Amino acid sequence: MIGNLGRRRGRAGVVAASVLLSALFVLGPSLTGDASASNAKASHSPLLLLPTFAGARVLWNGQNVSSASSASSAVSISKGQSVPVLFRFGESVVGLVRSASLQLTYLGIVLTTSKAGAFVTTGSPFQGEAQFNWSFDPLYDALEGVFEFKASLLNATGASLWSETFYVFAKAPYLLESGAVLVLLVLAVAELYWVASAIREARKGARPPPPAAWVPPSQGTQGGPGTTAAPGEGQAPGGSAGSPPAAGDGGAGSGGTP
Amino acid sequence: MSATSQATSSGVVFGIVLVFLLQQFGLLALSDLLMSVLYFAVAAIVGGVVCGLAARRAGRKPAPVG
Repeated sequence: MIGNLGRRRGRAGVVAASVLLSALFVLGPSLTGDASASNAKASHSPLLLLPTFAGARVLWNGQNVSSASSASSAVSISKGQSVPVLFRFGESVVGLVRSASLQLTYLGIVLTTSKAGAFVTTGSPFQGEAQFNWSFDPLYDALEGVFEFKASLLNATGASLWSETFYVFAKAPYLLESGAVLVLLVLAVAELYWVASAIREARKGARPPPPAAWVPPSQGTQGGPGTTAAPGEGQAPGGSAGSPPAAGDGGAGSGGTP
Repeated sequence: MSATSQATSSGVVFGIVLVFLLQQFGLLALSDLLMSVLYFAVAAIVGGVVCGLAARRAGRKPAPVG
């Protein structure tokens, strides 16, 4: 009874935890989206709302990163490749922007930051530029996959004036070259093997026990034909050969003569 | 350690490993900490529950003899 109650409580706890996590999972993106939107509103000065800043852009290997705003549409980089990253921004904010930075974020941690000073060009629609080459090579041996990058334009104090988030897929030719992938694959196979062996053990444990070995009846008084009743079936002491079956006897097998 | 609890713990680890593998193969981004923790928690719970239930069910149903 108490065990059943505890089991029911345990099940209810698991169900409640699952529902809570599901709700958090569904509401999570909207909550974080609201938070980022409010942060953006709080951190951006009115100057950022000028139309000229709307023309700021980041080119990753010549491709505008605004098209890589999700993991599925990430721009790619290969091993050994050095990608030119070009920041361009409008004339009216040239005096504000001092440098540009590129941050790689993984599990909420900034892994690398690259910076370049901004300079002014003439004769092009965009008057300000900042450029540097970016390579994933220091991290390639350990990691690959999709990573989030944040490109920012910074003022003289290092505060962010404008930023854009995009995704980059760092991929090896066979997707197997980084150490993390190999370790994870080995670990996944090992876990699957352990799950399978645990299920096999459970099935062995559920097999019905083998029938008990037949114990020959003791020699002497209990011996004789007609005493083949199973143990505990109401054998009469002294053997039942030749005697009529007693009431409450095991019935078949214990009577010798009718 | 019973077979059910062993299968459950292995399923939890397998779920977490699977999330990392999906990120490595470019199907999932683990940049935001909150979303990453959510992915890991859901994968661990699902993996543990599925494997634990499978072992428990196998424990109830005897294997075919032979």
